[in-house]
Amino acid sequence: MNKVEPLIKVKSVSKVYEGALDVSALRSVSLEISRGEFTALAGPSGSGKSTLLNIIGTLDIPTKGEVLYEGRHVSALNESELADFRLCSLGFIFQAYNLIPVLTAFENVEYVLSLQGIPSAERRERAYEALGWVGLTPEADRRPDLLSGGQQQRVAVARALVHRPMVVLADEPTANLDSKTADSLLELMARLNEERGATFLFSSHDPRVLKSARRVIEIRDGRIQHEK
Amino acid sequence: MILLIYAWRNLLRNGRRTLLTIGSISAGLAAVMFGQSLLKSFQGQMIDKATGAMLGHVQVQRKELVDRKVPEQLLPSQEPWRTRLQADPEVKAVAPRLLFTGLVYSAGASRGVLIVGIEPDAEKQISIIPDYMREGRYFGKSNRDIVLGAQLARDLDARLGERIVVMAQSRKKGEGMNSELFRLAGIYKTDSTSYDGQIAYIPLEVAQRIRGREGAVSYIAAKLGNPGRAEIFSQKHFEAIGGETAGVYSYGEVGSAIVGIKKFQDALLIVILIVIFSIVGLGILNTISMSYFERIREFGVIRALGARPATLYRLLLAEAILLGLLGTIGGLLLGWLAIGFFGSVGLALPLGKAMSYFMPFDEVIYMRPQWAMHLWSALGLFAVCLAAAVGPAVRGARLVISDALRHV
Repeated sequence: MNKVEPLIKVKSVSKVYEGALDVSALRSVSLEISRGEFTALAGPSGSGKSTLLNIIGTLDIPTKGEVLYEGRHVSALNESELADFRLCSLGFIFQAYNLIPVLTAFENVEYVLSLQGIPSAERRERAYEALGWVGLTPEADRRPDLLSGGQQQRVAVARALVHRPMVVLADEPTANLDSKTADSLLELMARLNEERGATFLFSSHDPRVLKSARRVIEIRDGRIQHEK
Repeated sequence: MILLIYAWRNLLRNGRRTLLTIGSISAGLAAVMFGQSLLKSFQGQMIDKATGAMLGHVQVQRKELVDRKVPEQLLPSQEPWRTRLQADPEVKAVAPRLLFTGLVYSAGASRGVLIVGIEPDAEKQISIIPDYMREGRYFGKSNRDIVLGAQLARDLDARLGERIVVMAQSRKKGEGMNSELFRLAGIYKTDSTSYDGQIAYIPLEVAQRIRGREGAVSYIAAKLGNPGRAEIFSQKHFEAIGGETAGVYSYGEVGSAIVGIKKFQDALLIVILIVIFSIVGLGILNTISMSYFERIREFGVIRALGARPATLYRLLLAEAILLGLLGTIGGLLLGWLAIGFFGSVGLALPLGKAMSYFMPFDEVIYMRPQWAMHLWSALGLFAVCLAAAVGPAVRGARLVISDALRHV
């Protein structure tokens, strides 16, 4: 019987930031994420969870170890291939929303599809559909500065999901939101995980947020402490 | 399309800075166009006046001459050169001249001047001096007519109809000084010190008699349909028209000072062009660089979303293209308006007064656009805009995403 490859396999990944004083952000971290998971990386600030998310998201390169997606090494890819991989396979949600301020909510979502070279009519249809998932169709033509923090983060969720990625990586997605908005965002992410089967891997140090995750991996001092 | 929308909105993020940059490109291009038009209009007048007053567009003269402006050695006759010149379809008019120095006397004074023997009818086709007549006429039927500049007539205290004697050394062996009597037929006034005070025009046949060289001429001047072809024409027909003893020389070869002034001005124009292009280039570099540093985090996000390095490169270039395009369009418009304005009301230049010492020269320059040059400059400036964006664009394409995302 063939063994099913995990969606993401992190093998003995270490990361050292070199400087006057070398800082070990990750120390031989290994983990596996399967398709459809709703997993949180927990840990205090500086524990290494953002670094791990960046490495899994191919935004940073590990000093040692490797990351495999469905058994495929991503460390061997060049810059353009990595960009194509992120464009097709990954979705990102950032702590500070990071929407493009000069584009409307609709254009922010559409932008990812335009990078994929999808024709205009299809882009339009899919971008509106994604905004519909997060309940922001009426705000489609507003620029980020006219949206609340929660609305901006929902646009970011739509942007992360519009191209149907293998996995959505979210770095402290609720950190800048009030508790009510944070709850509603987590609800949205959980719903999209269930309804659309989207795999979510997010980091947080907020116990309330971690409660909503079905799997929690706790990181401390660059090492995995334990899993729940 | 979304790239252009994105680039355009990025420019609008800091509208004042963008407007200032576009304004500096426009002002730079307009200044270049103005300089080009001014110098080329100046040079155009200089060449028109110099060729019209004395040089002609091309001249047939002896090959062995040291001074081509006032040739010592003469062509023994006008033929066969005059016929050869007239047979060429590019030649619109020809005029033979005999130049020598001599003395002119009136009842009350004498002056040493340049005597120019001419064929009045031929001269009217080629020379601008008839246009400057203030009193009397530019020669009549009599071969005893003499035409003087206003200053020379004043120096000689001569009025129309009064007697003027021209005296010069004969070149015929055994003859000493020859003199002929004329009547002052006309007075011209060009406001040129040299032309108004130092030249006397007399009929060619009488000039040849004074000089003791019947039939001989210093050169045959020709006017071409297209003055711009003078150089090519002289090279092409040097032997065919010139034959063994003579050659065809362009006004640039005869009046080398004009070419010197033109070359100096052209070099000056290039220096000005480089200075303005550098200033504009640095302005663009500053704008694009500032805009780049303000958006490092955003570029990190775009790269994280899956944009290839080339996408950022294209975005920053698109912003530079838009800046360059708007700036050059604005510059062309501004330059065209300025040139058009001074083309209709004229621009008084002190330099015109200085030039008029040597040749008839209008103080007021009526500027004309030099579209070929202007468009090249616009293209050059546009290229400078693109070149200035290359540095930030390359930096943008090479940024480390995780560092960019941490950038505040």
